[in-house]
Amino acid sequence: MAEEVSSQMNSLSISETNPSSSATISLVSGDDIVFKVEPTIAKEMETVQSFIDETDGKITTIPLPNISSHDLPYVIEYCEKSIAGKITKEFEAEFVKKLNNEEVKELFLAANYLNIKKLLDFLSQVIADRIANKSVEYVRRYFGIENDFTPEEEAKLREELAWTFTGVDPDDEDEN
Amino acid sequence: MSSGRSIPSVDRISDLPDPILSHILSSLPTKFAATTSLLSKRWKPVWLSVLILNFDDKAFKDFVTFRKFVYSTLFSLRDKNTSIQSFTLKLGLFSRFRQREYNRIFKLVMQGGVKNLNFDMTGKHCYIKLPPRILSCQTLQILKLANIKMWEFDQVRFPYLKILHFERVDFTSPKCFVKFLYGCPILEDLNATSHICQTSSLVLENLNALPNLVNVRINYDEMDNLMTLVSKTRILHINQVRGMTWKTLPMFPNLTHMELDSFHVSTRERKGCRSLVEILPHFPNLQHFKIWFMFSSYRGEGICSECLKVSSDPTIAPECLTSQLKTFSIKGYKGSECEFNFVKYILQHSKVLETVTVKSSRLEKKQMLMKLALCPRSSTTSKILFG
Repeated sequence: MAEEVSSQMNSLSISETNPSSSATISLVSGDDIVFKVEPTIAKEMETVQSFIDETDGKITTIPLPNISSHDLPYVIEYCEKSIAGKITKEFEAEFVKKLNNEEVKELFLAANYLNIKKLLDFLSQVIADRIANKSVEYVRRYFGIENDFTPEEEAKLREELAWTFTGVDPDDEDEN
Repeated sequence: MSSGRSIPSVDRISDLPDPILSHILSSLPTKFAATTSLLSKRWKPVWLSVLILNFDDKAFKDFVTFRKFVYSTLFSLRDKNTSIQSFTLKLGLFSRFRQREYNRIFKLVMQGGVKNLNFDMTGKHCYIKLPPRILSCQTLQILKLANIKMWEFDQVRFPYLKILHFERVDFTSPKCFVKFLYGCPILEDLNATSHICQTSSLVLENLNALPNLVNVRINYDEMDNLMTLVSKTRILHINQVRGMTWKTLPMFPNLTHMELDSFHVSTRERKGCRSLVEILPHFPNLQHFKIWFMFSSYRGEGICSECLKVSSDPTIAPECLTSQLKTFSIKGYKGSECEFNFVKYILQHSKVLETVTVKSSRLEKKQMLMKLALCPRSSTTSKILFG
């Protein structure tokens, strides 16, 4: 798995190092791996682009301490497809097939951090699909949420929720 | 490599701001979103700020429970000022809100600035008087109605509506249907598999009312005027085609894709039928053309020969064939003489044709298709695919 990922990473950085383009952007992952990308890719990442804009394009090396070298290639791959206008249902299905739950969450956080709306929307949907109709316990485990309710509080909440479903009469106030 | 991975059990998602969390919940049914209030203190209020509400009574044990859930969510739990971007209400066979309840629900939804409204009364064909307020919703961009019989209404005003889908929506009169369309001046996507009775007598005031149409999917209707109303579209899909009986078919100057679906012709309907070749000049920019033939086994003989009649004079080949048509697909091909002659005609006259796809379920299809493959073709690069 690790080898597969790193080979994928190499091919990405090679394909992104285009000698004819002087202004490639270097994205530095949290674990200090440099990914060279075209400025068009950076444009997809609002956070990166606003950083470049703020420095009038003088700074082209951007540290992304919150994103690991494992996740960044996926983000770049998605942005490349997006620029090429090739985000299809098939591509998204293939893309998500490669990802385990942890990776989906990490990419979601990365997409949020980089402010890539399309990727964020897509991953929201993926997460939603993976938790849909699952029990509260399952969803807690999925997100790694610590249950900070006391047993009494939780029991009361469950009761209230049941009440939401069954306990109150709709008020018949007529507002037309 | 592994140094950059976070430890799985650390919950970083819960640290994200409310709008991001509620975004995750927004594509889930509201009933499920409500259960996430049990996850933790952090998550407890999140579901109440979701901008997309989706109520489907299928997930509830009965209508009383469903109604209570809808009411408490909308009127007591959510903050009245929280906006509602999208609202879906799906009701099954036994669900019955009263008229004033619909009014109250939709009033709140409108106040929330709804852009996308889906209302489906599955399996319940009763006349619904949509609250007049809905019919002049300034914010609405997408409206999908299903399984509804529309009661009379005075006025429709959807200045921003781009997508309108009617799935089994019946109107009391064709006039009502057209009145509805007139209320959507910038409509781009119309999907109306509605029942609109025979309407040839209807006179329309403004035939250019829908200039922005791109994608239209309608049932075959004899109403020439309806065809005129949608004539600016680029994509046209006609369902349940029963011959070509339009008397005054308009020109479709922008049309590039056309699909004639479930094309079936009974012996009785042959009268006044025009041929496909005869109507093709109305689509001068047609590039992609699909036909799906339907055969009713009890009627036996298949496609009415009038529809597929071809002209033997090559000088009058329609413009779309000589300069535009790139793909032609035919499904349900049975190989009768008139079908064969029709496909042969297309092959003979289409100069820029790239692919022809023929699908047939007949046993003797190999011979049938061989016969087609041997036909002379205008475009030297065209391919014939058989399925």
